[in-house]
Amino acid sequence: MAADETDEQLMRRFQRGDARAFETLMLRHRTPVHSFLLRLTGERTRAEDLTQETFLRLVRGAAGWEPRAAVRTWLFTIARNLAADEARRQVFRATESLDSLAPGGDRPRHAEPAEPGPGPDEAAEAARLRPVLEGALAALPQEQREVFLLREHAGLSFGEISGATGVNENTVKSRMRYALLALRERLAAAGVVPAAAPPGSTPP
Amino acid sequence: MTTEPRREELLDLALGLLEPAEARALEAHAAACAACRAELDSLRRTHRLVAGLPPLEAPERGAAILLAAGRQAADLAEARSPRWWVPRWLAGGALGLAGAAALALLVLRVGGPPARGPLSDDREALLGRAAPALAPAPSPARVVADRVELDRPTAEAAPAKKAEAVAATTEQAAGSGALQAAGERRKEARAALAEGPSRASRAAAFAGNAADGERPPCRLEQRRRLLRDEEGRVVGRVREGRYPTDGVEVALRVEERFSAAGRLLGGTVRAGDRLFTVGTQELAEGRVEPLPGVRLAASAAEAELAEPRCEP
Repeated sequence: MAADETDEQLMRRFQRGDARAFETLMLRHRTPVHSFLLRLTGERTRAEDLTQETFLRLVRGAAGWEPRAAVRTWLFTIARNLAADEARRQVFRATESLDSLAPGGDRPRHAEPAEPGPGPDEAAEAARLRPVLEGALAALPQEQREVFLLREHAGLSFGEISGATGVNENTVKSRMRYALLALRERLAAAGVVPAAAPPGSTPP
Repeated sequence: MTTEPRREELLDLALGLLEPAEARALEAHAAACAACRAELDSLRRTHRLVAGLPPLEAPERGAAILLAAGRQAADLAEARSPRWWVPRWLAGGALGLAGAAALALLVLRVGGPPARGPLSDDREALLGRAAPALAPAPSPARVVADRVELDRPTAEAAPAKKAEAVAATTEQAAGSGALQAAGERRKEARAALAEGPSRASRAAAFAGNAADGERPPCRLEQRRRLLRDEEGRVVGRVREGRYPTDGVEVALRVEERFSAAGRLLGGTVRAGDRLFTVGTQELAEGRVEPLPGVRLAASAAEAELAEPRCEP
């Protein structure tokens, strides 16, 4: 069954002319890639275009693909580079907001502070907090957001992220640390998590 | 633990960056130290919440185009194995105006009923692989409204010979799929690919445009329509034409789809009651002009104004 096959097996079949293998691959990764691009760029239209372009590149590049390269990593690398190229070209673009990103169309960045909610059901709570969380993510500097998304949502290793972004692994890790600190600061300001302990209060 | 952990260590612990031994030692410290525990919990909770955000679903509308591109690539890979897909004359990108129409005709030649079993039904129709008897398939994406925006028939003198050649090509293309065995079709496909450039010019004529400086064969009734999505945005354009030649009416219908940014994403060509996919990868890459006589619109407003170019 196609559903059980690895990306790499599917890619091999696609190289031999099996369109259904591509269909499976595409359906498997389209939403993760789109999700990554939407959170990275914050713009629906752009994310949609870049998602299409990412997969068209996969189609075009399929013939030259070799099994050493994980398809997933390859896809996210393409997606990331397309987004980066476009961002460079469009320095002056008017930034369309993330208005419609969260369900209900709230702009997450300015979402009202959520209740600290000690609820044990973290999933339900996460759903309620979603606008705040999306907002915190959107507020990260691009290079931190990129690393966080590639690591936590795309599931790439730090080494793979280093390869995709072209910065060394230590830099990737330190961006990840800054990202987590900045996220925590935002969430603390919204009352979602406890604030950092004030300096000097760190006990023995 | 005797030394006080630095904040960075707690961060690394929360992110899973520490070696197992270091991690165990720091966990042990945090278990006994309220401030470090609070800091670690706060970081971990932040991490968990943001990392746990659900994926944002990709809209359905792009999938059909990707499937079409994948299908086309796979077909060509199979037909031309071991060399892949796009013939050099196409890949060269020097096609200019005739390109897209050439692609369209190319697909007409390559197309036909699938040699393998169908993909899921819905997609089958979207990909233009439906059996010839099927009713006209829906446009490739979720376009709900299909409002007529322009209706401007043109009746102009046509170079008769060219029109005939064109009609013949079309009939042949339309009839070929149903009757031929798969192997033969592949041979045909190879021939069509090899024949590229001449087909390009014929295709241009077919679509009612001059690719080589000649006047287009304009005995063609054209209608142009814009496709809009639910929110009223222009997402594509349809061109329909009729060539009344030798008592045989050949209807050509070309559909284009472009993104909100005005970039063409791909398209389909309908001949008679059959729908074919235009080569999307070249179009998307911008190496090939969208369609003869149809300039890519930079905006929806511009798309409204675009006129078919067909002069006496």
